[in-house]
Amino acid sequence: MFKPLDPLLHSELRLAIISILLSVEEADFVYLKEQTKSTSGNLSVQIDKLSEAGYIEVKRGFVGKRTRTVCKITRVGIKAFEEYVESLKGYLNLNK
Amino acid sequence: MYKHMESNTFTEKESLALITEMIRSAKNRLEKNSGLPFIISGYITIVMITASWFLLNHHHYWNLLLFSIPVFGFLSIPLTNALSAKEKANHLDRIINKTWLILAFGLFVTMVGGLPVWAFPMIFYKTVSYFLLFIGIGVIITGVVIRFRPFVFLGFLGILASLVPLWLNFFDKTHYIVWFADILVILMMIIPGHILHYKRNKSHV
Amino acid sequence: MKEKQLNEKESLELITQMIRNTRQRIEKGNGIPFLIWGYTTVLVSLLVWYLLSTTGNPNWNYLWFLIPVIGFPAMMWAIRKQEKGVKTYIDRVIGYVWIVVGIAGLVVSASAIFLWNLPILFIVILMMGSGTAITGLIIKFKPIIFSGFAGILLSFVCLIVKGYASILLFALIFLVMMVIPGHILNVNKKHY
Repeated sequence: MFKPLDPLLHSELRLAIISILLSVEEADFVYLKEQTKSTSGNLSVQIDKLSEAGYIEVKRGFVGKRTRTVCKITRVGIKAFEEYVESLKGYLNLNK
Repeated sequence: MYKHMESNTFTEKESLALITEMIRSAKNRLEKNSGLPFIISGYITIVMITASWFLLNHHHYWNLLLFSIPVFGFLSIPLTNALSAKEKANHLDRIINKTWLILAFGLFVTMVGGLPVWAFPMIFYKTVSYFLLFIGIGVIITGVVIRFRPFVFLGFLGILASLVPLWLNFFDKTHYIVWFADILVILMMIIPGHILHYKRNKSHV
Repeated sequence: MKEKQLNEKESLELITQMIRNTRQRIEKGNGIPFLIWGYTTVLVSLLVWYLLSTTGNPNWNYLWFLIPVIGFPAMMWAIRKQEKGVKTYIDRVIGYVWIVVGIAGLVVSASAIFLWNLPILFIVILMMGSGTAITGLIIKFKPIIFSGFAGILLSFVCLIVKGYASILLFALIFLVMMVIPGHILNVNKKHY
């Protein structure tokens, strides 16, 4: 049973972002950057891709003079992640 | 590439178990819970308050029947757990349950503490006041946890409403208190409980 | 992290690693809210007690409002200071529990002062005790669970004892219920 892996998730940084957002209510840009050890530019691009696909919700706001970007996983994102993990299981040949 | 790897690496089975748990948690955060505790407690409370009030005409001791309210509030939790078909208690459910347990306990302690201090006739309307206060708080917290806005507003209503029995008593209209309490329980617990229950996510994992 | 193609095994490891890191960072919460509300309440109570018992002038009771007036801004400041960048459901729930209990306390207090003669000290301890106990159960920290329940049980001490002495008891109960556990929680956090 080899189901195709979602290409949107099958990429290191995006997968890391989704995994983090799965575990919390919301996380901001700074936290995500810390956890994934990525560059701002790259992180920003990947967040936009995930957001466009509807996997995450992004809210941009201000804290004083700084901008603050907060991300949250969506139902669609959870479902996509779940399917991705299912596919992984298939590839790893695990019986559940 | 990664931050320092844990010295005890997970086996694949463990990883998948962890991931599955997180997925379930994430889904639960977005799910609507069933309104069962509210429905059960709501109906029982109405019966108890109304019954107490009428039985009071026979004897003051029937005031003690009011103690059944927090007791049943307490018991409605395990009862709901038994009735609902979910195979695993949602962590949000657990928080709500604990909240109600504490509020029921608080109400019970209030009534016990009030017993020696309040004269018997006063017990009824004071109990109703405290009851509305506690229920109001519980309803708001529940509403916030499960993201069900109506509960938040109704809970506030409950807190404000807790002042009404005092006011009614002051103006010697104590006979209205029981109806007022019944209406509020219907508004705050039974109707929202049914709405919530109806809207709950039918697709459970 | 650069864009890199993963194999399936690495994917699994990555996911697991990210989840575990995140969960490790979920702190039990710190004692600051407890300390803020605890100290504010204790100090304001002692102040009111002193002024009432020395002057006998009931208008000093308006000073009770210092508690929310000092407490709420202090909480806002504390929250802003510890902007963690991540919010778990525990944070959300506890935040709301305190807001609810705080507002309920305010409503009841205002009624007590402007409308009726309510056993306000008793009610406030009851509500703060409940809030404390609920928080304790959520973060699963025994001392706070215990102090919350103790608060609820001790609350009717303030129902029974009349007069200015009840204010002193009120302050004492808050010391035990919030200040001390708040410190314990802070100390404990460092070892977590």
